[in-house]
Amino acid sequence: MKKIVVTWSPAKKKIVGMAHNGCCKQDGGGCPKKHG
Amino acid sequence: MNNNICVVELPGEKNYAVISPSRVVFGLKASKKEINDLIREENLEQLKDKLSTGVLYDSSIVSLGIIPTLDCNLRCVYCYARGGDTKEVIPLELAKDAIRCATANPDEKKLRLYLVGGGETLLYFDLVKEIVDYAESIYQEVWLDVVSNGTFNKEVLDWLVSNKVNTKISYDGVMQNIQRPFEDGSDSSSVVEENIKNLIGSEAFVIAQCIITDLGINTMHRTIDRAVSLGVKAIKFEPALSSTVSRSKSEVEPDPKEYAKALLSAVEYVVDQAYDLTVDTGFFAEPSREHYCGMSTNNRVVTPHGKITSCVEVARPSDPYAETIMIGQVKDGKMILDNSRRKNLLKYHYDNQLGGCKICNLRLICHGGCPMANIWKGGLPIRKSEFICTVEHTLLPRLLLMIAEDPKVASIVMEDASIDRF
Repeated sequence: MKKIVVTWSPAKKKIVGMAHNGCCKQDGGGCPKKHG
Repeated sequence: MNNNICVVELPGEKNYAVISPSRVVFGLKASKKEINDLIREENLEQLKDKLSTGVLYDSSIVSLGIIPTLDCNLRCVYCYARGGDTKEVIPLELAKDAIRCATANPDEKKLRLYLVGGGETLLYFDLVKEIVDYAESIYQEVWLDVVSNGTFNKEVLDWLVSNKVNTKISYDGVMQNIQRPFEDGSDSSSVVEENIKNLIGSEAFVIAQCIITDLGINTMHRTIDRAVSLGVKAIKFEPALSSTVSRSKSEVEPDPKEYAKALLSAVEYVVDQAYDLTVDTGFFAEPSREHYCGMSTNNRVVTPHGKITSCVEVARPSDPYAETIMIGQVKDGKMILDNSRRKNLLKYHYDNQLGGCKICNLRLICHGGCPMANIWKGGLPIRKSEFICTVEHTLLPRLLLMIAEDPKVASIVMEDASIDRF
């Protein structure tokens, strides 16, 4: 078996790939519907 | 069964992903015993580190969204808010009241302020400057996030750069002029592309947000080429979805299976071209037990009418579901939140309302999808969205395998993740 472990660091701010967090959360993520 | 661990079978033979909060462990060419051992190890890992369940929040930060206006100079064919159809602008004093009342906690000294649509956030720039100046006068620190259509002038651009604004520009690449024309029908691509180029040239961090319609389903590669030529380092795709209040109807929506395949192809294309570009698919994120959206917990977005909505798609008091989604108002210098409505919103989470999501093995990544998209499609009570389900189940097994097999894919769709290969 080939084993691969992916771990996210909770302390770091994420900008991309955090699309699933709400527009008013503090992570810099963004609601996908917030278009100007 | 551990509710925090999901096992996903990947394409090919005996390939698996064991998903838990903040972790994905792949077992490729794994026997049944080896997978069971991996699951056992992950159970122990969970017990060892109960704190690693997602993003850590700084309790000194308060968040607030403001919709400066519902007016817009573009007439995007799919606009979820019909921006420009009405032209309400938030009164300055109302915005100030909201900012001042955003927290009653003296320890919360930092503000993350989101300026969002409705209309074009920067259309009434003098007002925006006054709102931000006021925020900066009463909070120790203000972080500003702005979503804009990118049609602003040089004065606005300089302000975005000098204030280090986290800027998201709605930009549809090769479909820009067809999907995002000015009010008079003229092309918007040249001004938007020039602004993106200049923002990035000024070392601003810009995410290009690109809507994929049914008509544009095969344009992602060309849009990526165009975005890269402007210097874009991060692009986010999302499907056009219609709602009761959107400008378009369902004919703009891409087929969900075709959309998922196009996303996978876009990621492969970025690898093949060796582009220095991050792609946010909108359907893959750090595994966690978080909600998809803060709608049911902490979203507060102030509308031009002084209402506090938990979703930007319900921005007018006359909109359907306003009595459910709007959770308060700013009035007489106070922010008044309706706690019974807030409590009611807690129901809109896959853990409580979405039936099949509770046992879905993709739930830690999907998070039940956009709650409002589900409500527009299926009404209340909230239930699974067929569109989101189809995209996730088509996309994720394949994307997870691509991540496991190719470190370049991992660097394109993830940030700040460490990968160990054994």
